[in-house]
Amino acid sequence: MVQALIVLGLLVMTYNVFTGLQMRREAPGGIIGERLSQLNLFIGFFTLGYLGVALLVWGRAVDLLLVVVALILLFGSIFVLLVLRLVQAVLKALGG
Amino acid sequence: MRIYRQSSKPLDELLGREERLVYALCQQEVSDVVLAQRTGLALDRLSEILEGLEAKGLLELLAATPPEQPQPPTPSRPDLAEAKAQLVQTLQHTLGRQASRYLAEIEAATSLSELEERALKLALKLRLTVSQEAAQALEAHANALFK
Repeated sequence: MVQALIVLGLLVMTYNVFTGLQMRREAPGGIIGERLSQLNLFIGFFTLGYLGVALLVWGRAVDLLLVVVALILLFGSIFVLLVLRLVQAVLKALGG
Repeated sequence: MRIYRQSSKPLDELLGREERLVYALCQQEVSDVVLAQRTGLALDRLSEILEGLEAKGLLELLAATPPEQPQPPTPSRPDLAEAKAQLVQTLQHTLGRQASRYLAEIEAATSLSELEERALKLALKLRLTVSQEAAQALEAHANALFK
């Protein structure tokens, strides 16, 4: 179960990487463009972190601490997804 | 504008043809503007005749409105095509080839007020998504053109 949560978080974060890069092409500069560059850098870094955690905890016995960590990672990836959606909406509004 | 009418003094002297015409038309209250239209005389010539008749006491001046003060010069606004050209030039100068993506937004404006609105909106878009320097240049140029 813990592994499933972490893998789910990893998948969401991987999706975030592609979404972030796609949005960066829509906003090559300016305030949003600069912040997206920084955001993408951290998204990439955290994705590697999710992958590392998944490898480290794979096959380990499930305990409460692992469940809490897995949930935090999953909700963290959802949080990033929501932030990207917000920026996407702003870009769409500016384009219209 | 000045309004004249014949005075009560009887006409006891010989007048020229134009003077007679003007005098005849002044049987009722009439303005110098209307007199100029009816007689076909130039305004300066008409004024000369009216002053002469007034000096002789044949006409009386009933009312005079001061000449209109010239309006203070208002800062001239550029015409639409000129303003568009200037904004396009600013965009091309700051964005280079990338400017072609945004020129349509400027060219689509059909009035100066719409152009101002579009330019400021485009400046915001550039500031957020393309280049803050280009946005500042465009905004400054738009403000200089329209304020």
